[in-house]
Amino acid sequence: MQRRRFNRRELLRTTATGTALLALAPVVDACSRLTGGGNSATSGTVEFMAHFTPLGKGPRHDASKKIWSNFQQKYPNITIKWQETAWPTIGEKFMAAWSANTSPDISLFSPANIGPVYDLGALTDLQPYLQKWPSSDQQDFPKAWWQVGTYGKEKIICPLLLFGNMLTYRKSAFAKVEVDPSTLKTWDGWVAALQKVVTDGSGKHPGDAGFDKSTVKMWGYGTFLGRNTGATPPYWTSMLMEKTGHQDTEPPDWKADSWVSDAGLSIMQFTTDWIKKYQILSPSTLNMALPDGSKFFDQSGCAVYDFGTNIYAAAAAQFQFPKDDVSFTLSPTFDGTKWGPIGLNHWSMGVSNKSKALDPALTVIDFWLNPDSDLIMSEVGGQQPKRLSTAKNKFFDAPNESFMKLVTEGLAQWSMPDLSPPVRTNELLTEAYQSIVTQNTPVKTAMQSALDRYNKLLSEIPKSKLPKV
Amino acid sequence: MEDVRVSARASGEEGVRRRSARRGFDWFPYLMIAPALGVITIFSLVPTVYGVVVSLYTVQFVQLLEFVGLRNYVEMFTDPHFWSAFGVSLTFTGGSVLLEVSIGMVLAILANTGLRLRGLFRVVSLLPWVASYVVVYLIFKWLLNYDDGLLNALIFQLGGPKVGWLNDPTLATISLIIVDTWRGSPYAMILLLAGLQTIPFELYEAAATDGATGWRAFRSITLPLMRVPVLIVLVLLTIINFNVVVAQLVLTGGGPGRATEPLSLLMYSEAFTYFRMGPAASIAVFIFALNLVLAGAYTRLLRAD
Repeated sequence: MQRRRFNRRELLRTTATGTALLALAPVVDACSRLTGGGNSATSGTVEFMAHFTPLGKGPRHDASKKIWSNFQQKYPNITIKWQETAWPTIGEKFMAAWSANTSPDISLFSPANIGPVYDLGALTDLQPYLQKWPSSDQQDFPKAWWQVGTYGKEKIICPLLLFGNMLTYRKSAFAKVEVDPSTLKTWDGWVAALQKVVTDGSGKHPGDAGFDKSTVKMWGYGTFLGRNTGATPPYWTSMLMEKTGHQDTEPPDWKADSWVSDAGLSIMQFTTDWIKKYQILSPSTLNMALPDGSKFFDQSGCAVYDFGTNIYAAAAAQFQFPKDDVSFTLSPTFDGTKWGPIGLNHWSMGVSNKSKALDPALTVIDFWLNPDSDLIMSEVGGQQPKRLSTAKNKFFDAPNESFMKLVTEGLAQWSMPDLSPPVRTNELLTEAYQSIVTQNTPVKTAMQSALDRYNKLLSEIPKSKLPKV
Repeated sequence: MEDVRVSARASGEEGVRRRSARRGFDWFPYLMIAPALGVITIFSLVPTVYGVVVSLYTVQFVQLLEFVGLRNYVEMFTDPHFWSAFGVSLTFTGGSVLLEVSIGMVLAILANTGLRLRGLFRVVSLLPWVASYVVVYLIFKWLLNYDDGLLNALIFQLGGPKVGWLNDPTLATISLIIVDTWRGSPYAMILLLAGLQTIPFELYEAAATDGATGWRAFRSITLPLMRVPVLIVLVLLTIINFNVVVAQLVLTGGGPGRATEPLSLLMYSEAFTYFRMGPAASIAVFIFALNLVLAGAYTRLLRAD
């Protein structure tokens, strides 16, 4: 057998070709990712944990089903194993599974559980993969989308649902008292209007002598305020933002001293008075979870409900009254000079850093975020569009879908990014709210007790582990 | 044929025994209990021991970080929330157990008499106990709702004002006890009925001959002879009710404020709301220790019986 000999020129040529190929590899890789977002594994099995999946029933489930069907056509060799689970415990389940090395590849996360998950260091930094997206794709997502789950230079989650809340009201209830809610720009105006709406069996309103709350059939405002339900006192953060220019806990130190500031105390006094003094909010709210609150509005238990756009479509399907009796408006402010700030909320996809199917998982995430899927999530799932290009679709001009435009515009005017504090605050605040209303605990005592507890919990987290948003 | 099989099995066991005996140790009994022992070890003993270990550490979710000795316990015993939850647990358990045993006894006596449709009565009485916990509590959550609950609708129809069954701290505690009593009394009934059926009928006949019937017979025959079964039921129900978390979680979430938050729910919140597994484990160990004491009492009572 003849041995091949390299001369110097041949050696140089071979080396040059090899180097050129190596240099071209990322370019080739980037080109191959141009279609469908950026990541293009073609086979594998991905476990996906979420509270709405193709397995369930409802608008968001139906949207997921359609997207999954499209995905299967494009990637027949990538199998998705769905794990549908209840939303209040999804974060805990992921963390337990991650600790036992059995976590799903992809899971959804909400503001309530992303802090502890970040603290645990359980998620893959998605920034390197997202940076491979074509710039047109990158620019199609608003700044808020990029901000969610970005800690320092890392982005550990990608919002699948990005939403805010809007006041949803019964036109007929306000027509009876000759008030147009869309003109109410102050909280005092709202409370006065809602007191007119609330009527007892003998036609009296809250504040009238002899008003009997036992005979009220339709309350003014509706929300859910049960303990251990993920509830937060109504408009707590947005009212505080208006009064102080800040959210209640912010980086870098995440202190919550505003809870006992004059602003914090007056806000808590004001909203607890919605039950105690103004009687526009039913006491039964204190025992409601999210589905109870939504059902309360569906069954005409209240004239106004603070819906998140993420659940509005599902709730609207259950209305026990004509859909065209409903309209929407943004929240007011104390000074009434503009609409109140909207808290940006989200359900986002994160990839376990113990995933053994990273590439297929990234392909799934790419596909769920592509323009077609985004539109399906809006049209079928009733969700606010994430992509700027999707928001321009004529679909959103229809009256029934107008809430999406309203909230999108509201978010553009004044929004608050979700900061996901390292300690859960909602349960502490709800407990304080309940004790003020039901046990007549002075506002300052209740809030100081909540703050003390918060400070204790915060002090247990090493400073180096506090999220740097 | 059956005899042949039995004797074959017996000779097989004897064979194993003989072989073991030749080697100096009889493995056979250990072999027989090994599966049960394995299951208990994996699902009870290991988690219990691990729980004790976790209570001595600072923990990040389930990763042990730093050994802190008894610090979690010191914090637990100096935390006013712990003591308020302990008080709620005692009130709830005490109230529920007393009512459940009393009503269970009445039901057991009724089920033990010559009622017509006695079988049907027993089945219907047992339904609350066999129904799903969560479903039962969800139904009661609706029944007791302030605005559209069935109970308030009834009261309203009768001309009374609506009542905040689950929104008032005192009423919420009472409501929880009543709901739990509704669910737990049939369990007490079944255990007490078993006790009642061991009392010889001749004793009642003799008492009747002496002129003692009704209340007198109950006080002088039934009650003394039912002392141990009643105590056993008391202990068992105390263990069950002290560990209850679903009732509070579904009906009140521990509210209003902290009015109905027992130790078990406090432990749940520490673990799954604030991810403080160390303090949660220390509460779990405390509850476990109480259960051990009660289980010891139960065992002694069984021996006495």
